[in-house]
Amino acid sequence: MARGFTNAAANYLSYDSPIISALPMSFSAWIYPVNWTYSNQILSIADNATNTQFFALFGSSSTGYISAYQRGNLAAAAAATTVSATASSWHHCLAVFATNTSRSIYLNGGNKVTDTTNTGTTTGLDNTAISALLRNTPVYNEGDSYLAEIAAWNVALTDAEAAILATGMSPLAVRPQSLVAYWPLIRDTDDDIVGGYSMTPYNTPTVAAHPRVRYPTKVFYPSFTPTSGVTPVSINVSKSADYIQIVTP
Amino acid sequence: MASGDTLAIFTPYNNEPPSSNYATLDTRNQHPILDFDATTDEEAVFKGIMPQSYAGTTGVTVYIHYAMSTANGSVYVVWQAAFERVSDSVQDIDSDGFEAFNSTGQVAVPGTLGHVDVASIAFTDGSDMDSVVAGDGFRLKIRRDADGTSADDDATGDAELWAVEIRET
Repeated sequence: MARGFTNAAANYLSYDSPIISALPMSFSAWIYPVNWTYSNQILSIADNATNTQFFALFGSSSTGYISAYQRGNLAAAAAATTVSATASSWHHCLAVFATNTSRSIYLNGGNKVTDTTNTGTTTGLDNTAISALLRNTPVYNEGDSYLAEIAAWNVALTDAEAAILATGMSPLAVRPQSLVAYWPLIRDTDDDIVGGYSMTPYNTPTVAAHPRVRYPTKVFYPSFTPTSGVTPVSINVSKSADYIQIVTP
Repeated sequence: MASGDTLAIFTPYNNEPPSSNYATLDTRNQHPILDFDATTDEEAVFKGIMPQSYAGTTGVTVYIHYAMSTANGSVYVVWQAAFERVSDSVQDIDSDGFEAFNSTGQVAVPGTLGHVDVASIAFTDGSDMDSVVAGDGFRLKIRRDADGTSADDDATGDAELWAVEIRET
């Protein structure tokens, strides 16, 4: 079960610190746009004292184009797809903020667009939000969508990694050493299971069916009883010496 | 291996969902579960290697541990399962090769909401389980037969898969 957000309720999730405050960074998410009447905010890190300092992954109203939007002390700039995340189906989005002069957006593992405007430095970041951009004014928490499997890395992910994520692979399986935060958003659990940056819900987000995701897990195979005539081995486990000894007869 | 011994256990996070009509991940009191719809047939797919201890004589039985989201009382759910053998030069993984489904038939849902029931589906050794033998790779597809193809599933709300066990029959 994903998280559902509506424009009418103006609901969103937030954490009162920036989970990442310096470039590079990458934002990944699955979005099910209910409609594109309004823009759909996905994930953002912003300064709520100004209007001019933020990183945001969002979709534009009417067109449904997805953007990696960055604003610093020189300019605002967005890399926006030229294809839509159509309403009423799940889409994967990845925003890669590489430097002050390079940001890229991917939709469904491809459709890459890169923008190279120099935005200057982005400073003063003080919050992280899902389904909202919590800058000073106006705060953007509009849109009607379901969101799930949201993650952030402190590196610039590659084209190949964008493609892997779009197949439904969990963020846990993609550059895990650089994964800073991961909110699966299953039902109403808004916990970050990697960095501990658990979100606070505002205005009661709903729950919705989850997208297809594959998690890196192990299958459990039980041990078995030796057949008759086989002499069992002894297994000695030493806690103090950190060894396991298998003794055969 | 002896009859009744466990061969493999799968939990919701082991699911490798198909491209469409997949069971969706959910939680219930922090238990990970897979939701199977009440009207559309939805599926989950689990991958494994058949343990070397599998005797290959009496077949296997698939045990499906599930609860219902809303239904209780005198209604029934129907589960199906099918094997696909993925062995040495046997299966092109660019396509699916599942054997035909076997079905539980109608299974009475638990009378108390939140209780877990265990439904079982037996497979005879050989073609019934796509000829999977010890050491073979395989996939197991679990489906809720929500549209009642094999038997009438009249339970409303989701069926919530909690775990799957494969046991030697």
